Amino acid sequence: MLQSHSLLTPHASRNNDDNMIPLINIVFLLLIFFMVAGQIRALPNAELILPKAALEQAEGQSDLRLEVSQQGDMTLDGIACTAEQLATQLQALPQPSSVAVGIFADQRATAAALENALAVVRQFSFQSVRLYAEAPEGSVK
Amino acid sequence: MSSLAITPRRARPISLTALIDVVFILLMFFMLTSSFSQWLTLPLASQSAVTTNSKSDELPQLLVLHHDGSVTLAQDKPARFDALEQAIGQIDHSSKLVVLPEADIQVQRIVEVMTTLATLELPAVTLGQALSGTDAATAVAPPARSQSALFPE
Repeated sequence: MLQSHSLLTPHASRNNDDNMIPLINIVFLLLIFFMVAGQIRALPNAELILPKAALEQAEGQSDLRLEVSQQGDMTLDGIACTAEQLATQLQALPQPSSVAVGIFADQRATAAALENALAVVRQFSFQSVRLYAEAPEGSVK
Repeated sequence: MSSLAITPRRARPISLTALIDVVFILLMFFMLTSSFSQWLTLPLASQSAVTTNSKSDELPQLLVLHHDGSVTLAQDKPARFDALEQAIGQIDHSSKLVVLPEADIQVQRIVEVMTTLATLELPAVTLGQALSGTDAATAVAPPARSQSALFPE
């Protein structure tokens, strides 16, 4: 019994490792795929559905992220704020002319809700103001 | 002592279990954090852009988006069209265009219109302020078609 145990254990161990090699190969391939094809970036609020648009403009980098929910609630860099608070925070920026603002508005939000945010943003001379959209599925180049 | 030093240590085989553990954790991290959706941006007019691009003596064309899908194109005289496609043929390609959505128009509709207009290669297509129902009728009148009315401070 002891002899058989001593004989079987290394053999079984080697077999286990051998069986894991195809698994590791597949997992490595998946890992490389996600590392190369995916983009790691801060996502907007999960409830926010960006409008779909077949634009050709590339995504630009934004220094400030202003989100407008379906109900018209605003968040600046993830912190909820009112229009007055937004104006106060934007006023505190040292150099607005070097700041790019990205607006993430829900596709179901109304123009009035978007206007609440834009009315504040227009008061400042930002480098750029961009409205973010999402490429329709199947159109990613 | 010398015999201990001389005796070669038998190398222990490295278990793949530890390796696969780490690889699985890395895989989970990249699966959960990476995004495959492509973001695109639509440039909106900032105050500086409006100031730079505008000619004070030139009134822009206005395109009012109504909630029923119709549009009003205001050049010399406002004209209402049932759909954007009908208005596109009447747009002056040498003049700026300001899109004025009614207050209850959804952002998706605004983006669709701005995307369509972006293909016309106009000097500038900008998004003006949202209009209430009564404002929409008066905004297209020539006296109201000034930069100060469209981009209030």
